Amino acid sequence: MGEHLSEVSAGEAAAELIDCSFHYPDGRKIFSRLNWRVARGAFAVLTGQTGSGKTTIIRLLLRLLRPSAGAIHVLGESLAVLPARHRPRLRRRIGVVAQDLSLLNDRTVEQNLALALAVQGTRGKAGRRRVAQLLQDGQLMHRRHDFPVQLSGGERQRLAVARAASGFPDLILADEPTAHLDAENSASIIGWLHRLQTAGSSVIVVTHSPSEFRNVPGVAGYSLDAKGIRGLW
Amino acid sequence: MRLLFGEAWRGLRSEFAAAVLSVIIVALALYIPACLYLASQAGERYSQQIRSQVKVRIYLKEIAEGPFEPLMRRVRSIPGVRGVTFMDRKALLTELEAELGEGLLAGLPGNPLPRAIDVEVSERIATRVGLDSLSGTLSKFDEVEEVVYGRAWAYRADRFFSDVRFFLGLVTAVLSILVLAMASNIIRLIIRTRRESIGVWLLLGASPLYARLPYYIEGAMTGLSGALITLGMLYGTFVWLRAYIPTLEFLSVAETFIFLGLSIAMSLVGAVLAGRKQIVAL
Repeated sequence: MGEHLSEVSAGEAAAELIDCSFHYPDGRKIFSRLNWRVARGAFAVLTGQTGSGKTTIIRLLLRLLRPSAGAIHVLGESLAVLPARHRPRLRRRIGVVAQDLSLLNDRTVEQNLALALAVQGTRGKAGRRRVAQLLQDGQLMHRRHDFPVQLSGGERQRLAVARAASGFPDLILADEPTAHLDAENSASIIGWLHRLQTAGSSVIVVTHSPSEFRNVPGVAGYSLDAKGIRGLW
Repeated sequence: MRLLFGEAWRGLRSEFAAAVLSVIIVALALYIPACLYLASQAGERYSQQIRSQVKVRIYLKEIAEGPFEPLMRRVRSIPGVRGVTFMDRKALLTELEAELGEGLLAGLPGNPLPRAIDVEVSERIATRVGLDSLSGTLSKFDEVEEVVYGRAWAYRADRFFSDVRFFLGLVTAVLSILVLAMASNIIRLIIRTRRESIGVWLLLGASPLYARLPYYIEGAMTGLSGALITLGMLYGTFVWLRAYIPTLEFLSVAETFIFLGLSIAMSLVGAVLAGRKQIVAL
């Protein structure tokens, strides 16, 4: 393994795994010597079987997990040597759509967005303006005073994407952003992610349904299996 | 700021019963040293009243001849001396007769008492150390035979109030730790309840310090609420007891703010200890 080095483009990397291995403390191996490079401004879709390590890669890129071996670079930062005090600064440059969405159920739609912006330092009038824009982009204006549990699946996904997009991130990591959605809602989420890429963000999506992204212009598909990461299209 | 206070309120609401209980315990823990403080202040004021009446008497040598004005001027010039009064033999005898009764002195051939000067001292030096020092200074004057003052009383009063201050300090220290521990525990509990929310904050890029701020605010709010309840209870106690203890006074405005500040500070330290341990960088 390790012979597969996939690149979206030869430009500066948004995210890069170099000979990256991961196994849990109990010895369970997830992958070994993985190499993958996603250039800045690219839109990469990674698929693979359940348990292949797709979500693990997202967590490694967020530095929520540490690789057992190898190196990881995100937005020009080497995660192995990035001090803990600088991790929040890097995370503010990354928009995350987590698999469980990680929405705050005791805050309204509007407050969820305002919190993300406040953490990034956008408060007051500028923050309110940005929240209004995100609500409009996510077609959530009419639900702004509702709580996440009151939203439909599609609306919750759109809220998660809106929050990820709130700070004009350099990189968006989306873990199954279209899971359990109907075709219309999936298309809406995919279209939005594509618009964010066009606006300058790099996008990495892990999904069980890569075909949904196949026809999106500029998207590169990858498959993760025991042999490593291979290009699909 | 509104965001941080909002999160703090959410935290307190999530563990409302425990938060109310900890506020009550904090209030009780603060009430005991606050009562002791008022009592000790009342005692100090009573002691000052007594001290303001303290008199030092200088008995003069038989050989010393008048006039005594120069000596009195020298005594008056000693720092802490408020006034001097010359007591001739007759005045002293009258005083002694008033104390012991005329019959007891009837058998004496003459007036055996030496002349004296009564020295009034300020409250500042009406302490054991102050009176000992004054006595030492006065004894050095050639005309002085003996200096008499309530040394035992001054010693006992000083000792008593020193003990009270020590006890008050000890109780305050012990109960401060209790306040600190209560605040720390409630914040730890709230942080555990809000773990998921904190995780989201950190995932969004909040620094651990920023994520801790709402819990520091909660700690401060616990201390402030407890202190306000204590002030209410303390005022009730003051109203009840002031008829029985004339020297009892309520906290001054400055003391009230110091009390509130210290209560908030203690709870804040508890919250900081809990927050630093529980909320770390992801």
